[in-house]
Amino acid sequence: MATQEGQSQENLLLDYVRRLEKHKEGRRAVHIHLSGLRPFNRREHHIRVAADSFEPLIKGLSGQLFTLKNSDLFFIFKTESQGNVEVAIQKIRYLFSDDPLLAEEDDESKKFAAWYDVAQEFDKILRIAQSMADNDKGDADAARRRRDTRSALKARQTRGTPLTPDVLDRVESALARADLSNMVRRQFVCGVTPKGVPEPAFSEMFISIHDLRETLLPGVNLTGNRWLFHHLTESLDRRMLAMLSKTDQITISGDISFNLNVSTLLSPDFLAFDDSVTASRRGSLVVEIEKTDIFADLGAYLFARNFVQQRGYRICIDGLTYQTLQLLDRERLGADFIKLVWDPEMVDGGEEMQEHIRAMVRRAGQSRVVMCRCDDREAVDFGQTIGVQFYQGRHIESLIAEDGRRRELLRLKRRIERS
Amino acid sequence: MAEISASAAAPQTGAINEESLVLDHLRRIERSRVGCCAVHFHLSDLQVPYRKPNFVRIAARAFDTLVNNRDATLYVLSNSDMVLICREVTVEDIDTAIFKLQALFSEDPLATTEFGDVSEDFATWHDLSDNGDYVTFENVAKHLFAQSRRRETETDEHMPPLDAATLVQTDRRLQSVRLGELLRQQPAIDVMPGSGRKILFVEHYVAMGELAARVAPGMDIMANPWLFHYVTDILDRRVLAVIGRMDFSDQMDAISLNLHVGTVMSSEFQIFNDQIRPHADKIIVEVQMIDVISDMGAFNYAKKWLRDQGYRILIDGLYPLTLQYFDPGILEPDLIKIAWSPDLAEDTGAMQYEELRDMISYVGSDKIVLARVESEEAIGWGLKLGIHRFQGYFVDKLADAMVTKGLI
Repeated sequence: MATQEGQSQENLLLDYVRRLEKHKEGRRAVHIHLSGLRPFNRREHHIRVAADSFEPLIKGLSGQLFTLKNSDLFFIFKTESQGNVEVAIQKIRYLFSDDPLLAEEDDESKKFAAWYDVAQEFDKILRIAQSMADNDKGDADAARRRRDTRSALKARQTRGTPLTPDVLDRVESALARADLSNMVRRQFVCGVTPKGVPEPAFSEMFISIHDLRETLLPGVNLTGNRWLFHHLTESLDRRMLAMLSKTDQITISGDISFNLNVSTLLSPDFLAFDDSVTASRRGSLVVEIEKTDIFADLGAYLFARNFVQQRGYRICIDGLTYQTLQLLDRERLGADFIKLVWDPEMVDGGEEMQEHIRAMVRRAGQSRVVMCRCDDREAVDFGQTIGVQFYQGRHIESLIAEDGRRRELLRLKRRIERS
Repeated sequence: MAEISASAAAPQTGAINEESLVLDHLRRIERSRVGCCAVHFHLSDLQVPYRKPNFVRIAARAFDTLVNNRDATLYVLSNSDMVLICREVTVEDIDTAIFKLQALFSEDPLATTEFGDVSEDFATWHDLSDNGDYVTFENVAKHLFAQSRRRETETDEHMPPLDAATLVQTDRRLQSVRLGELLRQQPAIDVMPGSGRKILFVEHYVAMGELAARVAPGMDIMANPWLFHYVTDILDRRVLAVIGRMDFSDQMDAISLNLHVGTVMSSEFQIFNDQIRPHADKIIVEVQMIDVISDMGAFNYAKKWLRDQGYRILIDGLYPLTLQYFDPGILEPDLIKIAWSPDLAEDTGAMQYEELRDMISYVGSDKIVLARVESEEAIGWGLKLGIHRFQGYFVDKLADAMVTKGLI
């Protein structure tokens, strides 16, 4: 859920309640205490499913839902929808029926859902909203600090010892011998329909750094030193090209993309790869270039771009953040696509930042921007509000899996109906 | 990148002299030149960013179809120029290949005329069936051959690039090298009349050539940009230790230091900050553009912190070419350093001039320092663009003269 400052749900709720003062009649509110659930029951997807129960009511303009940071839901609605709201809450109760909060509850208890009449209890609602917003302000900072320390500690524990020249040397010689074909991963870049159905455009092939580390040098943090890691990617490039030119190692279907350094594009390895690829196949290949690489030697980038595009490949500039996006002009750099890394900060930055990013996406061309590292739905929701057309990341992978299951069920159903 | 500079175009190995092959070819066809033509491609006249041996190897592939299917031969010369000699090949077919070649270098004004045609300065045609033209081209070929011979006798010490294996030793030596001996100073001055004190700042830097001789003898430590950054990252901390002991209270001029963004956020910098307080306003932190772009969040954070402490920020590692593609003003630095190179004087196209002038006035000419100024020409080039702050070897001489005259 969004950690929003300024535009947080808490603030929106407070704002909404204040504006309600003139339209108190005929409205009710319900505060659903999901924060009382056991932690394993209030993970992000639980909250999302619970919030989704109100979807038809929201679409029917019967009410407004606020998802608060402590996982509570606050729904303000027109009195005539009382019946439907009760049905929605019943669904949520059913969802969490094995949680002690609901299991131990007697029917009259207000522990789970507290109902209010806006006209009669307006001050009370305002007070609740006010305190939520106040808490939120203090929490936001504290939470960020906590998250920082925690993630720094976690990162140190999981990353292991940093990459040193000595280790780099060992990894490089190990790389020359290792079989990397089982470390190749594939992730799809998709358009997402308003109904949340993914539509693949191309897929990225990459060597899993995590697997590489586990296999070659457990306990070493390969990405720990930016410069040494970048050097290492040049060795990975060569292995990737070797695998891609041998189709018996990896079966490739559809349009694919892969990361390469500019130096690799200008090397004999790429020329050999290029010779092994049929002219018609080149049009379905997208070469991804990391943004830093462009600055290492701009002349080399421009030449390499002219060369690979002349051969029929397409180019994608990888790793742009909302900060670097304004510095790089996609059209001027002649790239076919750019990848914008999802960052919740983009939402947190408020309306002004969103407008700024929207303008940058428009300048780059909406159909030319891929929002990558979309780990949750918020990324896609945000991307759609700023006009991004393509997405990539764990959330998209789960949408694809979900879509696959749905199709499978549909097929089964048809078969049953036919028989 | 390392690998590429090592495997430079074949002719440099000296095994085959392609220039002599061109002369052989001419001798072979001398008596029956009907239908023969030659095209000389002046890749050696390209701007520095596009004049690289590995580019030539790729550029040569533009003629693959022609060479494989027709009576055509391509020679890649030791100065990176190329010569194509054909017999009974239509101009249209040759043009097809040339357009491909031209497109590869489309950013260089040499390759394209202002009407978009292939420039005669880039590709020179010779009709070998014409006696006069034949003699002209023969003289060109002889001249190129003589040049290549001279180049062969010049002992071109091509040092191998640093790689992971050698970096291990370099890393060890870096820990014990006496850095104080390798620190050098170079002023940046303002030539604008009435700009008060003329010295803008004095850069304190590590003499890389001397350092390389000590920590990586016989190796080119700058050939591989990523490993070079690793080396300079280590140097940062050592430099801070030396500079931190300087007495700033009688230091009149501001000084500048080359640092990584990561160093600014390190504990070493905190110690440095405590040592030099309250003289942060006399220090300019120079950061490389590539470092900034690789983590702009970190840069923004470091910039804000440095400003709060009183430091100024300079963005280094830019070239006139980069300025045409990116607006460094977005980064809101105090100063921007652009590196001059000698070929700019003759090679800057009219269009490029206009673009640069626009960009410089947009960013603000007061923010720009033209570095690596080695000749008076460079100052003239800069002044034409509205730049009035300079640094480099020629500036050092200028500064010395100004000191003698008591001007600074």
